[in-house]
Amino acid sequence: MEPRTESLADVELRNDSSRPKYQVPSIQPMNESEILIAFQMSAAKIGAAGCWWAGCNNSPVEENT
Amino acid sequence: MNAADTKTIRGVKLRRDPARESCFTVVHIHKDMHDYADMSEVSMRQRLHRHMHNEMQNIEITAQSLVDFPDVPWELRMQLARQCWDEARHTALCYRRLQQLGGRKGEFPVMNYEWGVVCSLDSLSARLALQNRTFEAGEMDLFRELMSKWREVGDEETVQMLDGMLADEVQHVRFGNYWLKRMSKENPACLLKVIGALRFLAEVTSALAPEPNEVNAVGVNLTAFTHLDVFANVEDRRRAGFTEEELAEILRQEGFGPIDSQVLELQSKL
Repeated sequence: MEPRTESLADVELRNDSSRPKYQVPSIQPMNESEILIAFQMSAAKIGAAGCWWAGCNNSPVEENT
Repeated sequence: MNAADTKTIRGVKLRRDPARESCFTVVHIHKDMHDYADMSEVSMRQRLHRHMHNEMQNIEITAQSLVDFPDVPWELRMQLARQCWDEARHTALCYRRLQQLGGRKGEFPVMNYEWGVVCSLDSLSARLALQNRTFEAGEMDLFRELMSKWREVGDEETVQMLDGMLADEVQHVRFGNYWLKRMSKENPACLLKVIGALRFLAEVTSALAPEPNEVNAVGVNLTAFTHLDVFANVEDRRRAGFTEEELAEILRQEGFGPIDSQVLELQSKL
């Protein structure tokens, strides 16, 4: 079996040159602080499950017109 | 957790409910609660009853962590023990105010939402991330809004009660932040537990969210009324040890777009 020399990006470009160029995915390393910044949830998001801590308001939801 | 310790609600596995006195009716989804959208007399009693029961859960969650993680540093165990004391006092305060307004223990159904989520987690870092840094931090945001709601109906006594409880919550969030950051420096692998915990909460939130036009036990259409517009309580979150970058992320989630630390700094001087 011959070694594979053509990359996926080359194959994609050869098959359809009109498509945007393949972008190699990048990995962004995060340190401890950055992880703690990213993984948070606001009270509004928690409250989406229901009347969290009796947070019901008396304003009817405005209907989209 | 073995099967006997869990319950499955709408497809998500949660910690089985803690013991309750026979006067309480325990329910598992929001539509079985008696949440009212207004501030009528019965609604005020229900809000206090719910608040009282949430504080009870906070005692139980914290006490369970003391039992489950006996080997954590003594200083952290002392903070958890103090938190139990605070939550017990909050429960008693809510109960007293409930009685003053003519209410009674067990008057409304209760739901062990926070307990079910937090006590499903098998590490203290994950529990601190959810109970202290997410739920209690969210309560700090919510308390400010709730205080204005009670003030609007002229109940200054309940406002003062909430204000005193808020001061304690700041300390709970602060020690949670301190220890979580310390643990993540000492053992970055614990952050995998934190990430897993936040993803689990997102999954539970999504599973338990009301269906369109779902009506609760007292006839309130759960999707026809808004919840309070809860915005980050920046001042108290800052006191509780959140960094400017963490605050910016919470504000971004609330739809404020990119807010850099210079804006927060400016806000703190206003």
